[in-house]
Amino acid sequence: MAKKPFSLHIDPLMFEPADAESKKELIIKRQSLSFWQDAWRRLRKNPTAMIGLNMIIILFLFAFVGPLLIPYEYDEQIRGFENLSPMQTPEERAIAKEAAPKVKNRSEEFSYEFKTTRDQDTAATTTETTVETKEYQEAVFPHVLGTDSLGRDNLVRIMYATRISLSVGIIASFIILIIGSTYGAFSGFIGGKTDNVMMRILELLYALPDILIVILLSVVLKEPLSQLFATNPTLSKITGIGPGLISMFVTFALLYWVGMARIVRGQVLQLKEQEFIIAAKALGANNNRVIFKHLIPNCIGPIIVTTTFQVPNAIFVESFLSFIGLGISAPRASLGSLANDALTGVQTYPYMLAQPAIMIAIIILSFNMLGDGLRDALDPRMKK
Amino acid sequence: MAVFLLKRVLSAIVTLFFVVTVTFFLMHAVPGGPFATNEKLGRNIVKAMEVKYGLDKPLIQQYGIYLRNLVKGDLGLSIASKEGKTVNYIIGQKFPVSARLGIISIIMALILGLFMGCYAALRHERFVDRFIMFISTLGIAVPGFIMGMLLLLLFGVALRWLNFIGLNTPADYILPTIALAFYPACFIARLIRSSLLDVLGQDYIRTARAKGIHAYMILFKHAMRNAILPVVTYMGPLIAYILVGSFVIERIFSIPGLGLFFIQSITSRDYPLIMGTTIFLAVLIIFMNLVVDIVYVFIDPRIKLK
Repeated sequence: MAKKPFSLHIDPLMFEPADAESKKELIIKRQSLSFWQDAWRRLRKNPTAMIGLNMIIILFLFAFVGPLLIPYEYDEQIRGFENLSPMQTPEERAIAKEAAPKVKNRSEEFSYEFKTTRDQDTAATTTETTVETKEYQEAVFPHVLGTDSLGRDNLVRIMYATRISLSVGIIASFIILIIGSTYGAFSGFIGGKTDNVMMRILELLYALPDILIVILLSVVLKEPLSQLFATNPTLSKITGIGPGLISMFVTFALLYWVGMARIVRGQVLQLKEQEFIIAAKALGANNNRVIFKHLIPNCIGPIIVTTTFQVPNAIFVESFLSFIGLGISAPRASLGSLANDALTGVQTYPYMLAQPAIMIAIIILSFNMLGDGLRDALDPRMKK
Repeated sequence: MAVFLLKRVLSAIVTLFFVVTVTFFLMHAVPGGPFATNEKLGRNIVKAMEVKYGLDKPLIQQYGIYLRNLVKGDLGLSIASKEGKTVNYIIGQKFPVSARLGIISIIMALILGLFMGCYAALRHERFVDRFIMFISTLGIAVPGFIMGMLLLLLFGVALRWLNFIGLNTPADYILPTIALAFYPACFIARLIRSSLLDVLGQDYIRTARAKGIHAYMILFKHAMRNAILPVVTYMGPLIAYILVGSFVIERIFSIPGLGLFFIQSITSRDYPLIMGTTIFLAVLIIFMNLVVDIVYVFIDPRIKLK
C-alpha cells in the first residue's frame, strides 16, 4: 500500500474486537502471596540458602535416623576392635601388622574373643576356630569410620554427637528467642525510664567478656549439678541430658539473649508508633495483647533471622566448651569432646580428629548459609 | 569531651566491678575451700593461708578483702601447683607466650584483612572480588579452632611440612597464627570492602580524581582514612577474640601459654587460678575496649560527643 500524505495509515486490524484469550493475557498474572509464601519464593531462588537447608535436613536425618540403621550403640565397647581405622576389620589389621616386619606379635591383644559388652550371649561364644570367626565376620556390620580406643564405633558416636550439637543449638536458640524477644519487646514498648534502666542492664551484659563468664559458670555449675544428677537418677531420665548440657543452657539463658533483645527493641520502637497499634489500643487491647498479638508477630522476620544465626553460634560455644573439657561428660560425647579426645593421638589416628572437626564445620557452615538466605528473604529492608 | 571520657571510664569500671563480683560469688558457691584439697600443706600453713586470704571470715568480709587485694594487684594463690605459686607469678610466666602469639596474629589479621578488603573493593564485581568474598564468607562461618584442627591435619599430619607441637622455631608460629588470624582477617576484609565501596562513591573522591591525583594516593590518603574507621571499632572485639581463641589454639598446638594453662586449671579444678585468670583477661578486654573507644573519638573528628 502506497503511503498517502495526511493519511494516518491506520491498520484496520487493530480495531477488531479482542478475543477472550488475548484479553486474558492482558490481566497481570500474579497471585497475591502471603508474607510466608513470598519469603519462601525468595528463599528458593537463593541457591546457597537451599544448599544450606538441604544440608541441615540431611544432618538431621544423619543424627536422628542414622543411629537406628547401625547396629551399634554409642557406648557399646567391643573388645578386640579398638582403634580400627575406617572400614578395617581386626583380621585385616592383624595381617597388616604381621606384614610389617619389626612389629612384635602381641597375640593377647588380638585374641579373637568377639564379645561385645552389651549382648554377650549372642556374640559367638569365644571361639578360636577360624571357621567360626569368619562366619562372625560376615555378619558384622563394617565400622565405616573406624573405632576409638575403647572399641566404640566412630560413626555412631559422631551421629550421637551431631544429635547433641543440633539439639543444643536449637534448644539454646529457643531459650534466647523467648527471653530476648520478651525482654526487648517490653523494654521498647514501655519506653521511658523503664526502657532506660532495662537498656543499662543490657549494656552491662553486652560489655561482659561473655565466653569467660560462660567458662566460669560451667566450671561452677558442673559440680553441684553433677551431684544433683547423681542423687536423683530420675532427673537425667526425665530430661534425657546430662548436667553439662543443663549448665550450658543456663549460661545461654543468662547471657546470650542480649543481641536478640536489642534487635526486637529496635523493631518495636519503630512499630509502636504506627496506626494499627493505636487502632488496637483504641479497641481496648491491653499491653500484653498488643505486645504478643501485634508487635512480636510484626517483627517476626528479624527474630527468625537472628534465631537462625544463634543456632551455629550456640553449636560453636558448645563445641568450644566441650573441647576445653567443660560441657558434656562421658560416656556421652559431643563433637567438641570427640575432637579433644582425638587430639592426643593425632599422629597415629588423624582421622579421629578429622571426623568431628569436619562435622562441626559442616553444621556451622550450613546454618550460616541458611541464615544468610533467610535474612535476604525475610528482612523487609532488603526488599526491592 | 571530658564528659564522654569520664562516662566511658566509669562504665568500664562498673563492668569490671560486675565481673569481679560475679566471679567472686560464683567461685565461692563451689563447695570446698581452695585449700581443702591440698594435702601437702600443713594445718598451720592452711590456717595462715586462710588468714591471709581471709577465708576464716564471713563471706561479705572476704569479698572486701578480695577486692582490696585485687586493687593491689594480688590475684591469690594457685592450689594445683605444688610449691604454692601465686596466680600473679603464673600469669607473669605464661602470658608473654600468649601475648606474643596474639600480637603476631592481630598484625597478621589486620594486614591480610586490609589487603583482601582493598583488593576486593578495587576489583568490585569482578572475579577477584567474588573469590575473596567467597573465601571470607567461608572463613567467617568456620570457627577458628576448627580451622586450627584442619590446618594441623593438613600441614602437620598429612603433608608433614610443619611441626605442630610447641613454639620453638619461627616456623612454628605459622599454623597457630593462621588459625587465630583467619577469622578476623575475613571479617576485616568484609568490613573494609563495604566501607571502601561506600567511600569511593562519594563526591570528594571524584573531586580528587578530577584533580588528577594518582589512584594509589586517592586510595591511601583520601579513601582509606574514612574507610578504616569501622576496623578501628572492630579492634576491641578482635582483641577479645584473639585472647579467648588462644585457649583452644594453644590446646591444639600444645603451646605453653596462658590459654593452655587456663584449660588445665579447669580440669584440675584450681579455682583461684581460674578466678584470677578470668579477672586478668576480663580486665585486659575491658581496658582494650575502653582504649579503642577513646582512640576512635580522636581519629574521627566527625563524631559528636554526648
